[in-house]
Amino acid sequence: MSSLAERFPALTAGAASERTLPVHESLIELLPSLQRGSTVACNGRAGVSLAMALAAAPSREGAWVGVAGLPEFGLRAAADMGVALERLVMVAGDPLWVDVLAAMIDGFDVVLVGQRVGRLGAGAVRRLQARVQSRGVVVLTVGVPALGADLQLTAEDGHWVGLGDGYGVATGRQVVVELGGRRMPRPRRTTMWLPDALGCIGASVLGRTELRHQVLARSDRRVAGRLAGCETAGDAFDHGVPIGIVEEGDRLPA
Amino acid sequence: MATMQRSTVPRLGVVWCPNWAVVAAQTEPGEPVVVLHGNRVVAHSLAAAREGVAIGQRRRQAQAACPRARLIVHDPDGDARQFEKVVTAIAALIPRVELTEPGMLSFLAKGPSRYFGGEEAMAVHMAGVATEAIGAVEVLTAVGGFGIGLADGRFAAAIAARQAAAGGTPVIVSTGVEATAQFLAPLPVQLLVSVAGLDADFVQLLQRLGVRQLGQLAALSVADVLARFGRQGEFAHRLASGGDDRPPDTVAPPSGLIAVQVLDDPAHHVDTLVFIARQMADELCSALSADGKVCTRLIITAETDHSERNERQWYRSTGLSAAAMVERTRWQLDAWVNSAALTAGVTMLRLEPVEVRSDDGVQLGLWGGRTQADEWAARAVARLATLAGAEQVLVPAATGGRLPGDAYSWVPAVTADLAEPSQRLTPDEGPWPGSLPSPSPAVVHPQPLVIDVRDAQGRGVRVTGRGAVSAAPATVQRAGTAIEPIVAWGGPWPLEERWWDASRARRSARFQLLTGSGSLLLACLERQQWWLLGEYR
Repeated sequence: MSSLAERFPALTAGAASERTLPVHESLIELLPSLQRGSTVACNGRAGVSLAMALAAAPSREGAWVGVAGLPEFGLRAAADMGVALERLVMVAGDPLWVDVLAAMIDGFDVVLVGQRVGRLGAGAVRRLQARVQSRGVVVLTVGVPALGADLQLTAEDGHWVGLGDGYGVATGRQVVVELGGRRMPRPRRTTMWLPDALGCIGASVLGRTELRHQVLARSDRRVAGRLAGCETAGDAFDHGVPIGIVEEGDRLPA
Repeated sequence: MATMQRSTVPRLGVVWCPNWAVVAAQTEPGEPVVVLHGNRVVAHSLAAAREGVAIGQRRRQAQAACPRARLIVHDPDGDARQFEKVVTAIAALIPRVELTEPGMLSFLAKGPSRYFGGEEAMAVHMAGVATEAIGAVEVLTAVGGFGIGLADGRFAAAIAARQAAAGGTPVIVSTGVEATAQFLAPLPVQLLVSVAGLDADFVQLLQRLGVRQLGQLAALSVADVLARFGRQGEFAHRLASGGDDRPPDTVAPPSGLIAVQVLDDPAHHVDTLVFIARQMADELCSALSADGKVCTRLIITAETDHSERNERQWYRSTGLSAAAMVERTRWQLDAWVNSAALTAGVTMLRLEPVEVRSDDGVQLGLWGGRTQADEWAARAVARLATLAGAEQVLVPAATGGRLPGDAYSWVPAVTADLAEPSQRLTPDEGPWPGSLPSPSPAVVHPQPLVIDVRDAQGRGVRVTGRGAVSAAPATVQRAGTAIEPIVAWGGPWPLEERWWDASRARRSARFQLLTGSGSLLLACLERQQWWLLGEYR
């Protein structure tokens, strides 16, 4: 019986909701859900943020997230992104990564793998992949091409908003996220905020307005934009120009 | 409805010394003394009471009532230490003594009273022993001496002891539920708060509804009280009608069950000690669980080479697991290290269970409790600790701070209680003025990296003491990589922390630097050196 179940997983698999993990609402348009047992490579300049954004929704629903080979994982950014820190475990240092990854795949629902895991042998990778599929774990990789990928998420064309030439503070980044991979004959692309002004992930159009409101609401003192042709900070936003939060009495750049 | 099996109400004796803190402070007999905690009076001597000082008053009110009163700051540890003498003396006569709080202890009265030839005789003897144990009898007269009460159930016995302390002679309530109820009937329901520790709001509600005496509460039907007030009401009703069947629920731990570790090499880091505590706690818990017991009260003691000592008692009604013990060790040691400038490394660590009870398990919630995933994760953490080393398996803890790496830090998972993360992750509310707003860098370097930031002329960028930048940063270079141009930057955001403490003070200025390739860096300039703190990747 057990061998039958192993040979035909589809016969014994549960409902669709059990075979997938949820995805943050801003990403749903691009990727409706995360298939359990799949590996997603998060590439590009916003790769780490992207991996955090993907881990956030499952983590909030009760999944445990393991982080390997990424000792510089920023906890405040992860918390802002919505990762439940009470279900987050990291392995640091330089252990025998193959064994550690295997143990993480056994115990956690989402495993985030970073560059520091170093080289992994081809045989080890095959064993890990088999384990990932049988355990129904989602593996998110940042800069580990050796682990392979069912899906490739690439965040490129990063465009930071809020930072000027000597003034302002970065309030958000607009990126183009492209979804490709073995099972995607034609890549899909969306523009979105990663991160938005609250450090979270924001759908592009809606997020833009929201971001504008957030910045306007947060500028308890005064929001000023420095640009030609823009009357107000709101206008500046709509044109996608850098805006700074300037405090009363600050010298505005010429 | 089937009649409920009522367990018998135990016959209990309670020894109570009112205003124990005054006795513990070793004051002169006739002197008016006021013990304060958080600006409120928690105890006072008889002389002070005669002048109008009362418990709960503010310091100013107490001083106004009795200007010549000596003010003493409350020291609960000192109280406990002083009371230990009384506990030891009484424990020599009676086997199972429960220390309820400094100044109050209770014991099962049935056996001992037979031994001493009656309850009256026992109470008198007990008062003598307790008074003798203190040594200086005149100190005791300042507060009126010990009160000894005997009754069925701990609620009635505690009230009897209070009355005895006020009256000066032991109060013995005859045995039986009716007699107990009769004794309690004329007393105010307020005692449910002050003696039984019930919710003050609940008792206020009773009073507003016209139930002012315990007898009135007892006269209501249990079903009605249960329907209106739930479990708490039912419990209060049971107390009021003399059916308090709570046994002295804790017992002394099996003798000799203390984990002591003497370190040959003094430990200077909290982490080292916490790992040692982990082993000790594991041993303690396995010894206790072999007996079917769980520790509810634990004393953790640490001592340095120069006999600086820190001792603290921890209580958890649901029982302390090994992880909970370790976590409390870490809290205590962290607090100690931060508050006192220790002159030597720690050479002794001791975990002493002082209260255990039978482990009846803890019922987990149907919703929101532990899930299967939590169980698996806990097992995976234990396995990872053996694979990668316990120091390398980390979980987040909120620490609070202005830099991105300070707000949260990583602590070893074996020293944290994974099942109860709320305390670990409750952020230090701050405020942390000067911390940068969200978004935060997704990459925070555990050790900041050295970078070189120069202006358009190729000179290093500096910040003056008043926070002015020498020139706009134009290029940035990380060790071993090419020079990158800076297209946008923000800052400097100066940060001056702990300027009052020369050894830990730091002054720095933070910058955001956006390079030509589109990566945003969080850098800081400290002591003329540029550091890369994090990257917004």
